[in-house]
Amino acid sequence: MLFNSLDFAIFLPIVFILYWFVTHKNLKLQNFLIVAASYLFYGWWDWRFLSLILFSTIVDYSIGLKISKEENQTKRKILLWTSIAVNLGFLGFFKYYNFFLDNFVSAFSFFGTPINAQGLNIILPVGISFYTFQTLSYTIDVYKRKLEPTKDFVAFTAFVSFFPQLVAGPIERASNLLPQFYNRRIFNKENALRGVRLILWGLAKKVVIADSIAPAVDDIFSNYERYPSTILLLGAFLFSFQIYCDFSGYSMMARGVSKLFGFELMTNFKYPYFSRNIGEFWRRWHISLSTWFRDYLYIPLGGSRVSKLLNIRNVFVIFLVSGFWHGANWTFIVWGGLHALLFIPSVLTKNNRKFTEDLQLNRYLLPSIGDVFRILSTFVVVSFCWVFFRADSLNVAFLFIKKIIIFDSSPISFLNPYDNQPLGIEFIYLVVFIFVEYLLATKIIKMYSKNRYKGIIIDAVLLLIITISVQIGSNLSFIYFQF
Amino acid sequence: MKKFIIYISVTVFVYFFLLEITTRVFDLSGHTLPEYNLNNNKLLRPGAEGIIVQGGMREVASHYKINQQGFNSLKDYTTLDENKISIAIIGDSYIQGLQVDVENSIGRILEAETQNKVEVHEYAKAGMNIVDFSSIFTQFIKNRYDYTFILATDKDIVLKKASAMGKGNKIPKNSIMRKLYDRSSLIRYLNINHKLSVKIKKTVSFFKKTNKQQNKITAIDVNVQALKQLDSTCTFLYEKGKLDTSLIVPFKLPIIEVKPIYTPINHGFDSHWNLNGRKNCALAIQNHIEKINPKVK
Repeated sequence: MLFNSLDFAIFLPIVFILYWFVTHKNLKLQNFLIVAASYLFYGWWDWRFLSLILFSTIVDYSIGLKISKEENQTKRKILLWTSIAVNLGFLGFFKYYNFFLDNFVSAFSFFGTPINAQGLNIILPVGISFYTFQTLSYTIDVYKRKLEPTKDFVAFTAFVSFFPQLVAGPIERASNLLPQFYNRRIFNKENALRGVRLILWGLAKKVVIADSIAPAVDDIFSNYERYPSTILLLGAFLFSFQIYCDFSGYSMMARGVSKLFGFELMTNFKYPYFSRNIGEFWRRWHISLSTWFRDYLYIPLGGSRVSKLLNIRNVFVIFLVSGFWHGANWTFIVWGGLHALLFIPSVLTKNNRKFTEDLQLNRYLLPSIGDVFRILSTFVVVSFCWVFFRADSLNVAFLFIKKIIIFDSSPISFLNPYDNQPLGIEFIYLVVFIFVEYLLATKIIKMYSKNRYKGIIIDAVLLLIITISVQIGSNLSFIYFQF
Repeated sequence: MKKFIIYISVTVFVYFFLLEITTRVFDLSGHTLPEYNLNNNKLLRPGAEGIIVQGGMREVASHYKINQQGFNSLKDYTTLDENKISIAIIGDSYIQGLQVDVENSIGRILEAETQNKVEVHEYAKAGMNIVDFSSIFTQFIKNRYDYTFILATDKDIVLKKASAMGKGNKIPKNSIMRKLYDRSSLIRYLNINHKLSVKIKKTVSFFKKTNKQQNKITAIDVNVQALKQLDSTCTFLYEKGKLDTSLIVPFKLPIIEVKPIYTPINHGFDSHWNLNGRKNCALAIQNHIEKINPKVK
């Protein structure tokens, strides 16, 4: 079920009413409702893969309990690795089987021993990368004795399958989300209204910005040979906005829906395109994933408290793994590698923790010229890296960038190559969007208005803009569902 | 909770109010096509003229004009120029062509492409099927035109009940819902652009048990009776993947493919080819006519 579908528009109020009016007096029943709703939400797409989530839930629940009781360190380790093997085994099979097979075949052929191997026609279960990492965090935290294992199976099942963030995150830590299932939720009007506003903003980002520029981006990346440098440059920049609005829009909606049910999820994006260097970008982009890799991979490897050489290795490892997490394609690995290359200089000069504070504004409410330059250059560099993320193959990505670099001095075109119409309304949306993001990022305005009349008008107008902008029948799915 | 529900209710009310105003001010809902009973056929009101609007940015805003026979066309089909080759095109919404101006219909494109050596009349209405097609053929076309082209899909050739032609297809009296639909710009907008009624039907049908499975259409399913009423002047037009041509072969009627020479631009809210698709269709007919009738070249 998609957040931006009529099915969900019917599903959400029904679950909301059952949650707050029917099951509200019994915590167990309320948690059970969340499980039932989450399984229905996921099963709407393909009920067969519910068995995977259930199996993963049973394995991690049982292992969590056993690890906590077990005093023998070797046995504890075996239990931990069993959980990791099961979870990553599923992920590896469904997501990476064909990739490894193809590469083995290519490698053997390269060394003169061609082998015949047929790939499998595997459907990637939606959200598998997200819930796998979420359950893994539970077992690892229990193993490290940072978290008490839960004895409440229903609460644990609700934690694993919690529908607002099941298919595309944010990847929640058990220490943050699981305890919320133990306590009785009390309806808070202000919190629920914030949830509604987050849903609307998220939906607006998805349908007004991401979906309206998607046809142009798709066309530019599919027919890059036909287009001049300026159009390809435009395509790269437009994709930067598309992926940001698509993914952060989903994350906002997930947080908003959770708030309606009295849950708090972590913020996944903090205005990343106002970052002044790559380090800052990664503290603002897909925060739930980057902190996951930091806590469960980078720090266990030694993090920055090792020699410079090992530190560089650790940076490379997390960025390459992060790239590979996104998809079974060399394009994602190169994308991760490029970010590692961009990040390493700041690690070596110990500037990676620079810019941890928000933008400082002058009396005209603008950042300094230096900051503007840093923001723009970071955005350009990030956009170039996105070309690898978006391209179908490494070859396409290299040719795409080569065509941009060998500048053909063609006139700047603002035509939407998809239908040859001027990209007028899309640009207006983008400019307004960047302006609003700037005001929000610099805290000049707040997303929530305490004045209820103002709030009603803002919400109604947002809904109106969404209704007018939405292109029914166009690609409604979220980009990150494929990961 | 009470305050929250009030807030949401008021917001939804304000939203509907703003949507009604916006769609009226910017004319985002266009006109509803006026249906009309003409000699037992449920067609469109002769003389009606207006603009069909689709898309939140008026991506489609096309001029329609209903002729005396109840079809969307600039021409009345009362006379035929004897010096020209006469062509009739039969079909559903694709031929009716409400997604482009009536001035750019397949017939007008075909006439322009052949330097007016042909005269084209289009007999089409959205939702028509093979029963309507054969009825149109016998009522208006047989023994009158040199060539007839019928655009059809698999689904069209199996249906057994006419959607517009013949008795029993009378326009029902205006219900309250219909009046509400005609008067409310926002409902029309939501239905045209967001396929509201289709989605509601789809969601409702999910909960209903359906035993019928959509099997592949076979020769047994084909409406033989309707197809037998067509004669050798008729040629079937089809798009790849939309018509199993082996189902038509037994009737010994020529079949030609509408090749995607120009890429049809389909908006999310509408997949009716638009101008490029119509050019493809006109080209397919032109090429076929040129092959069988040297006068057109």
